[in-house]
Amino acid sequence: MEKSLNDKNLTRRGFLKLSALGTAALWVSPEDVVALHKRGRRAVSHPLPAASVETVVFNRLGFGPRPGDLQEFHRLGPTSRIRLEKYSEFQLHPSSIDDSACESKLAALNLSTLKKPLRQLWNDHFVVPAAMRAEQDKLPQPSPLPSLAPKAAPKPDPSRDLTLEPVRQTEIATWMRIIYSRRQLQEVLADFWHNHFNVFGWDTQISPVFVHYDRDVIRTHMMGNFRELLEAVATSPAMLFYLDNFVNQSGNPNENYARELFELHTLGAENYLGTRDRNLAPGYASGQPIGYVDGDVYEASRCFTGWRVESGSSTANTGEFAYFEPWHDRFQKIVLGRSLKEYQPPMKDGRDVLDLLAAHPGTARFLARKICRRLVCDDPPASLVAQVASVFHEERKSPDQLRRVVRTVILSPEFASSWGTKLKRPIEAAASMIRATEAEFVPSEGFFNQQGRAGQRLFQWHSPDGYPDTHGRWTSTTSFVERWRFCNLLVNNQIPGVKADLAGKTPSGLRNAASVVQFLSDRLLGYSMEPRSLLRITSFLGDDWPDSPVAVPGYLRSRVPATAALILMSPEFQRK
Amino acid sequence: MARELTRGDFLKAGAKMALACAGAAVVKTSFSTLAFGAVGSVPEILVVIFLRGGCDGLSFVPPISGDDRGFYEEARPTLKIPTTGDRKAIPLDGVFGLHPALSPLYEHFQDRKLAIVHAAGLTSDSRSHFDAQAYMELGTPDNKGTTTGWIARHLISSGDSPRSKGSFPAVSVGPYEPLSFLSFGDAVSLGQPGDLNIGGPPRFQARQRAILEQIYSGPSWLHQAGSEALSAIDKMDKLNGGNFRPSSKEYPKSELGNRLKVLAQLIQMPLGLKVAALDMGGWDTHRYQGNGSEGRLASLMDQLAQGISTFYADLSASPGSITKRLTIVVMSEFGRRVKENANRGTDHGHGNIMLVLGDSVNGGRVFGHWDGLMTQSLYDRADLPVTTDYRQVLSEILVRRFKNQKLAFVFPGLGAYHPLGIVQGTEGGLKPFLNQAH
Repeated sequence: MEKSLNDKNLTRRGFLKLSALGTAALWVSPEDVVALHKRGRRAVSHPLPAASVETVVFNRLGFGPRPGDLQEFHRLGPTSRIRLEKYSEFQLHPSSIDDSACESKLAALNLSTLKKPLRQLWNDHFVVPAAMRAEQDKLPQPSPLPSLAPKAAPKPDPSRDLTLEPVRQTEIATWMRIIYSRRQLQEVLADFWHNHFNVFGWDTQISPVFVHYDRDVIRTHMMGNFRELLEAVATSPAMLFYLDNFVNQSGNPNENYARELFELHTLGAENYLGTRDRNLAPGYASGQPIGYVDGDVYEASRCFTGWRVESGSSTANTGEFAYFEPWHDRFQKIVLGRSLKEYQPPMKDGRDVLDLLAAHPGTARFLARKICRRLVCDDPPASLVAQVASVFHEERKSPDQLRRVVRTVILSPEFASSWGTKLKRPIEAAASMIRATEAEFVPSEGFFNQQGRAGQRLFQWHSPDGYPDTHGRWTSTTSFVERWRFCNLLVNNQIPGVKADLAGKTPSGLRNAASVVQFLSDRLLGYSMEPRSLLRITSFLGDDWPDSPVAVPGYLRSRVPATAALILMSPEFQRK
Repeated sequence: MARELTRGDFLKAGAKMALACAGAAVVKTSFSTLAFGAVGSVPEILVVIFLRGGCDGLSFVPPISGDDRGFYEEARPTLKIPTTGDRKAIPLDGVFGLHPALSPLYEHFQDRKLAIVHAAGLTSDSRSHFDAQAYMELGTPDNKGTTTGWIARHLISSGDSPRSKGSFPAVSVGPYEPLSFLSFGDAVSLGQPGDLNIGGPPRFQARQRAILEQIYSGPSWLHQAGSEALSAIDKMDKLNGGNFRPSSKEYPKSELGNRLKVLAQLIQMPLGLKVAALDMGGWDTHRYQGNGSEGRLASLMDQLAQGISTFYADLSASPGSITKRLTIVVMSEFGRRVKENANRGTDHGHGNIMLVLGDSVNGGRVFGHWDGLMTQSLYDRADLPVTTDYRQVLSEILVRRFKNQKLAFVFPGLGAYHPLGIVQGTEGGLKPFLNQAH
């Protein structure tokens, strides 16, 4: 964590002193400010205002505060601890929160795929791509293959729209909830688990079943039990397609799923011991190896042979999960030091692997660190990780294990005391800007494309590791410039479907540039901006401002959006 | 059947032979010096194309004869690249062939501008995409915690400040910066250079930028990221006046094609570009990779070969023949399993090919050390072993083309320098390690 967390040089009180000078402070010469800045520069990190628990809560357990959120939070109780406890309990039980406003906005969009059961999604939206069919026809067929049998004649363009409809509608619904839902933690966790169990949603096999993946797999289990979530993912058509397990069969198994199951879903690369002999893994002798080797991946891939999707060939064509006995490797396997007997009952081999992984202390540590990385800071302290891991491990049989884990993180001292060391990723930056400005929002292709340019369009990360979650991966020039450009597009209403009215929301009675900027920064950020930045931005608004005590409405109208954009572009606004 | 792939190359020979060859290289260099200006005054350009997902080197460059052909066909009953028919591998040297979808690159091989290194790669014991990519791009096998990338260290050690004033020494095309640029503050990622502006009403832009510069001046990573982005906008404005003209050359319609098209233009602008990094994804072919001129892998190779070939033609026709000082390297995090899986795909492997293309490349040869495909010779009895550390290939380019001898800084822990003779140039004062065991 950075030193700036403890840096009390320029607290809110310090700023009040400065601003007590009123407009006079406005006209401090830029050279003075630079000199002041340079003096402070070498001592410690850039001073930032010490942010409140409220700010932490709304930026890290949600997609940024809306005006009024912080005040509402404040009314929850007399101390910040009580407020935090109450707020997190509400958020950890999302159905306890009235979300009818968001739901009715969503209902108005008529997203017809969201309620379809899996079979219907498959039936209505899966169209065999012509290229895949051609490839199948040409190649020799030495063994039974997964069916990619045609169920409808391939029509090039309309069928592509039909195929992509479920993922498109999930993207729209997700953005509507990010912007409007009061169940903000639910959206943060959905995003976390979608990335943890990442699939590329725009694939022609995955898109048709993506609604099921989002609704019945990720969202159904994300506050429940990890072992159950793991099996829901393992048997989901989306993951079976994505990591090729739908074609995994005995003889020469496909290890794609098994490898990522170990490396990304459970133990993590931190517990990967490479290609060495498995009995050389420390702890192997006592039946508890500390990590996994390639041999475990190969054996596990045998365990998942026959876990496939019912897609027509030698099975029904429902799009649902099916265990296909003829493809299963029935012989003995050894995984993580345990011997799995030959001829186990259906699915028992795979379930044993999931049991072993979900109960391994290495999985608890890996998941704990990853959740802390999302909710607290990029490099969470070992003590916090250990505490959260022990809850993860001890509660592994609890039906609400994951809720307990998240609660532990939120109520840890590190959660509330770590402000601002994380960078909002493009999704969080855009969402928090829309929420802070109270812009009207209807998702549009133009908006989504902008997200793609910034590098983070939902469900479009190709590889199985999910979008990166540390600041170092989001500070590229393109990503930053697109983030800034988004601010200007937003305040000037240049994003299709998004409409902000900042001039209209600025009280016309404000009498000078400083008070307008103060108003905007308090409203948009939710806390007082770092004073020197505030002065700079004030100078933007005040430059051509006649030194008059009376606000000029036309001038305001023309310059408030660009001023607000600067606040949205500021370093403060990028932190969480 | 171990063999040196570079028969007659100086590595195999003794020191005397080495001197003779080095002399030849010097002659060639002075020739290019006469014709095109001294290396150093006209900067060399390195383009690194990273194939994400682990490309199947044994499909890129399969064995076409001898015992290894037998082992290969046995391991790849449905995926083998045929040696007869109209989808056959293009013979390169009697031992290896080139995948038919790579035919646009074959003419560069014939022109001796394309070199292939086989059984090259990362020495780390990992079949994880993400670890392997990180190790490779950081340039520190087995250490993911390194805080600088290998390209960043190369640029810094060859005299580029990480905060250069008026140039773009390191550019990636696309939304993300590769780990190889890590900690080189002036590295930029560009989608379309014309988009490098903050938008909004033009009358406010300059003033907004001035304010941003002020509020982003500070030592934290966040302030630095902002001021780096601002200085990139400024530099692009100054260098380009905001007018970016895309190359008029027709590029293949693919993501890589689009990126190469942007890059070709960036290289021709006075940006001081020295190293560019591009990504191409989709190589993780666990199923249906295909076996000849058709299939998923063939279509990826086609995009790659068409893209590179178009890019090369575009730049060699450019004023000043930029290809004279251009080296393109194609690499991937690992190769794939020798034995195919039941889904007509291949799982994660180890050793792989690297491609090196440029006018200063000693092309038309397959370099490296080949141990054969017998099970006993394989890494973990399953994969092509890595007999050439990918860092040696890159080191040679840095030493001979970029005159950067600070290899211990760029690739800490690499040990002795083993040039294979892939590119022209001299070692300067650097002593290559000549007593190769093989």
